[in-house]
Amino acid sequence: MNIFRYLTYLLLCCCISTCFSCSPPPQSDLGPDDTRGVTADEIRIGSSLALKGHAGYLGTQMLQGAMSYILHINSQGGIHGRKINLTALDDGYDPTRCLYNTQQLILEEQVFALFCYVGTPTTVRIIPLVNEAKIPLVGMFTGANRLRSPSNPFLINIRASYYQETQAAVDYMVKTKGFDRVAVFYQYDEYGFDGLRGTELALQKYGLIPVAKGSYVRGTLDVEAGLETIMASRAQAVVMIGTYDPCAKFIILARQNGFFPLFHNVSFVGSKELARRLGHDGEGVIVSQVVPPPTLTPEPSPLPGVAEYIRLLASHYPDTRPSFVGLEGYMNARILCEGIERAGRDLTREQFLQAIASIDDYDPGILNPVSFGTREYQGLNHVYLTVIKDGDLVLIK
Amino acid sequence: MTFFDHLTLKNKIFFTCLGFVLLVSVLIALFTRALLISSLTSGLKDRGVGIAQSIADSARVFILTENRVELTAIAYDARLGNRKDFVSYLVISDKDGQILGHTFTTGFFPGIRKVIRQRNPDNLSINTLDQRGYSVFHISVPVKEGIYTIGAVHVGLDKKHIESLIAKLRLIFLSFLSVITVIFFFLSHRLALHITRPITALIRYTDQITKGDFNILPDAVSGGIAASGPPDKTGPYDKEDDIARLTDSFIKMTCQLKESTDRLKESQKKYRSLFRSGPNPIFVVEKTGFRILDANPNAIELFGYGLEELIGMRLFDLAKHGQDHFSNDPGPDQAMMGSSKAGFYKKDGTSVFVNIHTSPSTYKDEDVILVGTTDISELVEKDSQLIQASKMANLEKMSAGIAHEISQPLNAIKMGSEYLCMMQEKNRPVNKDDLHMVLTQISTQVTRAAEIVGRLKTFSRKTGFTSEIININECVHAVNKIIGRQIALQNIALVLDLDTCLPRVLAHHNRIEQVVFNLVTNARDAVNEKMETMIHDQKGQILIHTFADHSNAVLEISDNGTGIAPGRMDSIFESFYTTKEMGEGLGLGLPITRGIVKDYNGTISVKSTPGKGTCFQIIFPAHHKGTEDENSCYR
Repeated sequence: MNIFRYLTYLLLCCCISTCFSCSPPPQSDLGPDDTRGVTADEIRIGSSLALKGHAGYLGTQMLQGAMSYILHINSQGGIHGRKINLTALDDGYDPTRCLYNTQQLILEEQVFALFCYVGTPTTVRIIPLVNEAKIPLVGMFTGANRLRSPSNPFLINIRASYYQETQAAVDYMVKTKGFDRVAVFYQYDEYGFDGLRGTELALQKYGLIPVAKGSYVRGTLDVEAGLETIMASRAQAVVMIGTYDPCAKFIILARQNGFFPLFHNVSFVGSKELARRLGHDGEGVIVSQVVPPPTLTPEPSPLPGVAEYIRLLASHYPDTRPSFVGLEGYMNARILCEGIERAGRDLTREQFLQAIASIDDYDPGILNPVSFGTREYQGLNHVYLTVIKDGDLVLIK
Repeated sequence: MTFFDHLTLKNKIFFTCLGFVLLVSVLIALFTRALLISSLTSGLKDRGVGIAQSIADSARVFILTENRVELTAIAYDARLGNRKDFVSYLVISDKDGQILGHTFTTGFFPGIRKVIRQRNPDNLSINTLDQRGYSVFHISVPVKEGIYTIGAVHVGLDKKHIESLIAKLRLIFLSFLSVITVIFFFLSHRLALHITRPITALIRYTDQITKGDFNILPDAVSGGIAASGPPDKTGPYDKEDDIARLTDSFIKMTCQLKESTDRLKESQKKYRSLFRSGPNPIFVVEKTGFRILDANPNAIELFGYGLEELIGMRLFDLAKHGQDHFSNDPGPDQAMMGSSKAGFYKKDGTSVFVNIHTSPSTYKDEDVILVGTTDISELVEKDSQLIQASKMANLEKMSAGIAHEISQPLNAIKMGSEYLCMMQEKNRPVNKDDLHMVLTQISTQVTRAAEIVGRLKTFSRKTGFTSEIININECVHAVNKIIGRQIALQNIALVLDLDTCLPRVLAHHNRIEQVVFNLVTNARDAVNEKMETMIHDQKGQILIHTFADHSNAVLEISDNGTGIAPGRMDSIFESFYTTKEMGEGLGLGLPITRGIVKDYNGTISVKSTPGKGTCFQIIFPAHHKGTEDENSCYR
């Protein structure tokens, strides 16, 4: 049939012309079978965190808490025959250095996953790298909203968010204490803005707004201007989103100036260090926590996870005292190892992510179940309010 | 392109238009793509150079301090936002080509380190790098501190941004082309229909007319033809386009055709009725073979056969002598030709004489010959009677001679018998020899007398009009026997010059004798007249000469009598024309002679010189039928 022959020619011409205009898509060597960082007997993990500088306590504590569990696991033969090799680089809470470190970890060290990052601006800075490299990041010492929403499958948040922390604080201030004049003192960066936003959202639920907002620049101790603003507002409570040094200075100066509002800090402040710096000025200062107190209290009955943390920390880092930050690091390590365990011997990044997603209602021993649901990529949800009493942080019931 | 020729008109239009539109669209697409690619590429390069230059400014101080951390941060920052779409990578290198900061998170672009090391950092350059089908523009911009180059910024621009735009464009064009094709399918379909539907309708109507069905109304035609076009308020006849004109012409032609056909049918009817009720029998016969195809009622009546019996018979099966006297070719100028006095047989065997008139015609699309037959049996009968009358008149002339002829033998018989009686009376014995001689003489004379009587009887017999194969010489001899002696007694020499190999002819013995007799008696009268009235130096002579001339038998009777005056030459064959005195002759001899000659398809001609003599020449066509050797000669 001539008509068919004609149509065939036409079709052929079309195909040829489209072929000439097409080019094959670029090949990617990132795929589900990516086994970077995994060898027969080793899993390489990388971390860039503040080990020195004005936030060095946070990084150090967290790292030691995590390492104590990891070393324990390694001493028992590792997971599925592989030991975990953690490389930690110091970025001094500097986003630029964190970026550089992370590039080195991914490119040069060829790590399987990133772990235990500290700080909001630093972690946020490396989100593009995480997305490009499709590398999981497990456990960040930050409650920033940007890491949680929009949900990113590679960012595995374990702790509760700042929104949740400030919510708990505001609830306590407004509901329990009956305050209505709440001010916010925040670090002038993403971390501070995030906390500020959280506080505002929380107050909005009660139809309130912050009566004053004061800030300081990250890395400095210039808190005076902010203090003045807040004092002038005669706030009844101050929500503080900062690190221990500037926050401690703020509280001391406030008390010196006769300003005695209820102070609240988020967990990132580094409660132990804050308490230490404040001394007796710290009495009555509230700190919201995302993990239970790292102490073995007779009542309620000692939490097994806490007990284990204290025990392992004592065995590997006998000079370090248990802390909230450390317990968080320990929790991170627990989740990391649980994920690797569930992924099985054929460990790929894809498998690992699926394994994490499968963790549902898993209690790492702190009566705070971990669930990585599909909606909010975050494990723990419970917020604990603690108050400084005699230089110690005590849980408010 | 035979494929193209076999398409219908509608498909031809469709494929042509479609092909053209597709071709134009493809050309436009290719042109636009080329244009777009070049402009997009140059735009991309410009942007890349811009980015590199702005980075160069901010990187300058960090290159000097070799601050890799800051340079890495700068490099990553440059890829923020929508730049990520087309900036594949960013590299900051020092003046030696060592990489200080870069954005290769997962792995280096293969060969990039070598490219950067080899590049001369002093100049701005744009190159294309291809790796695993992944193509980038590599732009290098120098970082200068004053006039010194301290490093370079390299930007890798991903072509896939352009390519995705091109792909999108291609998709748009393809869908556009598809839509165009679909639209055009319908458009050309409608356009073609506008042209082909009237044509199809016309074809249909023409076929209908060819089959003879004229029952199509003009309105239906124009409606059908114009039905495919767009509805027009002014009506189908008011449209000026070719389709409308075609419709009009077709309708006119149809009407004309219908009229012609009607007229034809009318005339056919007319002639049909003529055929049916015509007074003469008419046969329609085949041009070759003369098979009867049709016969009118008169023919059926005349010949006594039924129509079914007639159809299929050959015409000349009915004839006495078959096809002999009938030649088929009328010649180019003659519409008709005839044959007279053809003898036919009726069914019951009685014979009938007809005059045949033929004319060629067409009958039911065949070439035929119309054969009209006029019954002339009565005429032939009258002819015979006339001839008989003439014969009787001749007989009168002959009576004296016959009497004389018979008296001789009678005298001889009388003498013999008287002798015997005398001898008997005298009682004398007759001599045996004498007796024998007398008796034989008596017998011979009786025979002779009987012969004469018999000849007379034969001559006077009225014969019908029949044909038989005869030899003219025999007729001549017979006439000589009858009248020869008489002529000799009148002192006229009757000379016979007969060709012994004279071909036979189809005629009648009796009638040819008649002819010869008439001519001879005329010749005798002419000679006698000359002897009496004119001075003569010769003895009177009548010459009868027969000879063969090609396929004819020729009979010449010439005399040296008074001859015929030239003015009278035309009149001699007129009936009742005679130069003899009243009572001497009827004047029918020559007319009858001519009639007889014509009856047998012969010709008669006369030459005469007054005072010298006359020569009558009769030519008969030779008859070749029969098993006899045509060259057998008869004395």
